[in-house]
Amino acid sequence: MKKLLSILIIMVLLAGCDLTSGKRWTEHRVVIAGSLPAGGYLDTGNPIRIGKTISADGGNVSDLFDFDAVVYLKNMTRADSVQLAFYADNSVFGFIDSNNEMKIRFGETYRIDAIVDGNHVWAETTVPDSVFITTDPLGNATGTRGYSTSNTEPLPQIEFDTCNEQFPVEVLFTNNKNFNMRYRYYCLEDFSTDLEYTTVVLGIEHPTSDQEDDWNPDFGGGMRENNWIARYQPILNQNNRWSFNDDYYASGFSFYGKYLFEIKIMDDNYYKYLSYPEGYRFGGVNGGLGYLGSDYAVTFYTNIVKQYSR
Amino acid sequence: MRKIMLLLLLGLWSFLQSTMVTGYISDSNTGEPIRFATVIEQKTLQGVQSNRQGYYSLSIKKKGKFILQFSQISYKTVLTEIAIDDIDKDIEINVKMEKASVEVQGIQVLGEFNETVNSREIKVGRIFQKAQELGALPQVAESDLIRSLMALPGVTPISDFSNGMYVRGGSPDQNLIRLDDTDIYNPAHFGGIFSTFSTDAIDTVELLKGGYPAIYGGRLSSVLNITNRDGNRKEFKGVARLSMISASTTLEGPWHIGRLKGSWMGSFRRTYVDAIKSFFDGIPDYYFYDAHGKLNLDVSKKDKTNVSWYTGEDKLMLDVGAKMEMSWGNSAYTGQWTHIFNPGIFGRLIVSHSHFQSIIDVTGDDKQLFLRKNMLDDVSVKGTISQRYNNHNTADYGFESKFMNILFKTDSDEQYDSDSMPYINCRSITNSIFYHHNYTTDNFWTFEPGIRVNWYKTLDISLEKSPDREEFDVAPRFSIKRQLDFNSNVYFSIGKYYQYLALASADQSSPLDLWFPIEGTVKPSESEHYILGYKRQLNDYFAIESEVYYKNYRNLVEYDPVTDYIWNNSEMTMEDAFYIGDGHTIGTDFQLRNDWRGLQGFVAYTFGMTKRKMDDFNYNPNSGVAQDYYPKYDRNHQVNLVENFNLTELTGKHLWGAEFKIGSNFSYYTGQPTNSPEEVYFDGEQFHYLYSYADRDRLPDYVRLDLNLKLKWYKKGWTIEPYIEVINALNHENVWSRSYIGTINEDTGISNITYEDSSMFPFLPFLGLNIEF
Repeated sequence: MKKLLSILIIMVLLAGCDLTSGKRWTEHRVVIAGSLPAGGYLDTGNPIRIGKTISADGGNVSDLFDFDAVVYLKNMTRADSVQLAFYADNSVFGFIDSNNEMKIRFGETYRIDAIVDGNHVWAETTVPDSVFITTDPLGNATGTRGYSTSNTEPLPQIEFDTCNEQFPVEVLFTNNKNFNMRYRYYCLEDFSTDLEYTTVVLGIEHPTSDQEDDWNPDFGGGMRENNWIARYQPILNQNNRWSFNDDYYASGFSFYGKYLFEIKIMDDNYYKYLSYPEGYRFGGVNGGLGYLGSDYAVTFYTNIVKQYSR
Repeated sequence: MRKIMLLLLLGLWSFLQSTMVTGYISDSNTGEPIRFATVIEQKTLQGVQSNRQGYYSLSIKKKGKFILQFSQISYKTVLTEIAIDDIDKDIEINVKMEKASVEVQGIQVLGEFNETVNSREIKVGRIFQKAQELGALPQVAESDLIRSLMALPGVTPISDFSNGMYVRGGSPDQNLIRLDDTDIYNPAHFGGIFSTFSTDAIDTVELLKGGYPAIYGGRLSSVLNITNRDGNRKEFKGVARLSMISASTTLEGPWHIGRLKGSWMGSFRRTYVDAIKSFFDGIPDYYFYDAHGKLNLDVSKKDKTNVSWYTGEDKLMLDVGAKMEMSWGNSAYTGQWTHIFNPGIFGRLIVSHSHFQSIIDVTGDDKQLFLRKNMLDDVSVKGTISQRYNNHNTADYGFESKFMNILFKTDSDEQYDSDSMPYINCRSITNSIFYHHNYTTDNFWTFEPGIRVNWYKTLDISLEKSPDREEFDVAPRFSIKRQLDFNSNVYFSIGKYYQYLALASADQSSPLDLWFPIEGTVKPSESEHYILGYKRQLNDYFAIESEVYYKNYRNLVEYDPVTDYIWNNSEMTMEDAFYIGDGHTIGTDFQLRNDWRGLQGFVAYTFGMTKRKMDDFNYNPNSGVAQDYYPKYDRNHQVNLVENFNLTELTGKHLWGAEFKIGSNFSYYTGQPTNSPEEVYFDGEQFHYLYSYADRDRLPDYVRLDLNLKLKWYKKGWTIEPYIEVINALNHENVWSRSYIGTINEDTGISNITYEDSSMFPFLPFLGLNIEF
């Protein structure tokens, strides 16, 4: 009995020990983040961010970005190279091909090499093959109904209930290779408790006032945005073209109101970065974290309504 | 040589020279078998227990008059005098035991009280309980078998919303759960809040928290044996219950074919939330049901048969734009034949089929948007012989053959990459033989060696790259006990265990969990248990028991969530889908039980420390090497205080003519490990966190007090019992999960992290009504 008590006492003493681990990220890490736009250039609309991680609590935001890095963009297919320059204004910052010297071509392989505080960080990506994306394969769009490719008022309207049927998504390919695609639904409306859900679940028709902080959080994401990412495969359509057709995507529009709707075909690095847990490990970056991807994207704008008013 | 032969023969002669006293022990009112009743011969103090069929056998080596004492909790002790004139003649005595009067019957909260302190068997980490006593514990909405077990030392829940049992640091997939000797694979309703077992249909529950004998295998951590009731053999009886979420009824009675007699039992439970949803907004279209049944027939004095079955299902339907239907459930069918070969040899043959299925079906505009189907079929044949050589030597030996077919498939009319839509079909067979021996030298030492030999083989697997697996494993077990005096003993147990199944689970068990058999790329998981225990009956009112244990694990398998995104039917194997690693648990349970003047219950303390290290998980970013960590269910300190107070028993008084009982269940657990953000970066669109190690912090401690109050009126031929239960009477905010919110101070540009906690059950009252007839 005494021995048992002794063992118990020892265990209780052991119990006083701190049963947690120490810090995991003991150093800040270099981060590469960006996607090469197929058919375009690394311009102010598509810069490559080179920076570092900062402490989540008490870190200085200005330390996130490294202005002094030496960064090269190389076309591995054509053995060509250009040095990128740092650019910053009120809304955009990052490294760009300031003279548009290197076009990003479908199907070719590119590499970023960067020297950051003496550390060499690099990543490679192969740009997806050429595609054609449309949200009006049936020709139902008019000036007031359908999608627009610019965010100009008044936006055309789409009835939520007929969106899938009237404006299915079609993507045409030159081959039958599997591909990665993201739908991004971004509600352009400001938060309001008058916003109405397009689908009522468990009787909930409107967001509540305590959800306002979740509408547009500092750290991104939030309830105004949905992202659907998956890997797909094209099939031969009736015109003998490799195609992807989707007539059930409208449920991503969670609210009635104005939307940015982006369809993006992306490479494996970008796909893994966005969908895998701890995606920053899988984005193809060596010597650092983040991702170097490549993509072809088209952005649409529309106003999701219950019934057409015009 | 001749002398040796002569001695052996003499030994065998004396070995054979004994009278076997055997028989069945049953309830005098219902005729149902009384399991694990104690039978002691008062002169020699030789004792045995009845088995799960209520059968006992005791050998007496000399002639004379003897008094046999039959005892079991809640029953009046029976004394029977026997006279042995001829040592070669066996005696059959069937005993009917009468329930004790209400005042002294008591409710035994948490197991046998003066049970097995001086039993010949070594009951390592064992809790035995009559299911009817589960009702004594306050519960969420209604009594629940598995949730009741979570008040025990060494059994840890992960949350209020899951009934996955973490037994001494082992995860839920490491628990062998059996209903009438049939394995049940996912016994959870309502996302894990309730178990699939109706307490009215269950007779006994036995939990072996570790060090279990060779008759059990296939899991690393614990065994939960649940036995259905047989049914009343004397008269028709029933009970109806109404709680705030479900209605249930259990009926039972005798039946016969010609002169052959038996009994039957049927129990059905269903929730009714879906029936009232049209009157209230926001109520999901959800229901579950359970049905238990059992049919017994005594074919002859030596042969009994029974068939039992269980079926249960959950169904949830949601309209989220698309129509989503989720269903999951178990069914189990068991046929059993018991035969008494001779008074010392009792045999059982069991054939069973267990099925688990979960389906998620999402459709929209007549299109199959997504279908996920997981099915598991287990067909088993088991044979066990229990042999009593003499009062010092008994053995259980036999075989078990288990065929498994597991299917996991996904489908969609959408143009997903078809190779990334998992399709896995695997069939395997596990054959085992086992031998467990109990040897008692005198009234002081008991030895229990045992061995289990497993042969596992995959028969067929759909994954092209998966090689077959064939395993031959030997799992020895050994326990030793020293009876210190009549009221106390100390024991030690070691054992080796294997598991040939892996569970893909999202951090806490749910109906979406997937069972996978191991194939050629993954080795069987192994563990060793080392347990040192002490039990003492302090006096008529108090008893203590304590165990110290160490368990180590190898080849642990945990699902890698990246598999959801990278799966390829043509290229990948099981090894690609799981983290593989090791772990260990060290801990102690201590329990003080009381039965004093109407106050019954226990106070228990558990200390446990569990660690794991899994390849490629929780890695050090500098070295890339995996670090060991405390997993999410590691709660180092646990205190449980369960007390029931029968006012009527204490005072003899009634309240408004009713028997008046109060129950309480207090739980305290130290916080679970959690991770937290340490670094942040910006990728041009969003800020992203880099998280710490899995056990960087601990969530706040868990505190909960549940209370219940019952009034029971006894009428002529029926009883009525309304009750009120209050969950989390202190309204303590018990944290379930923590989410982090990052903000940036616009003036200083400094990042800041705060967090929001989601809580488990708040203060919740429940009302209900029980009627028995």
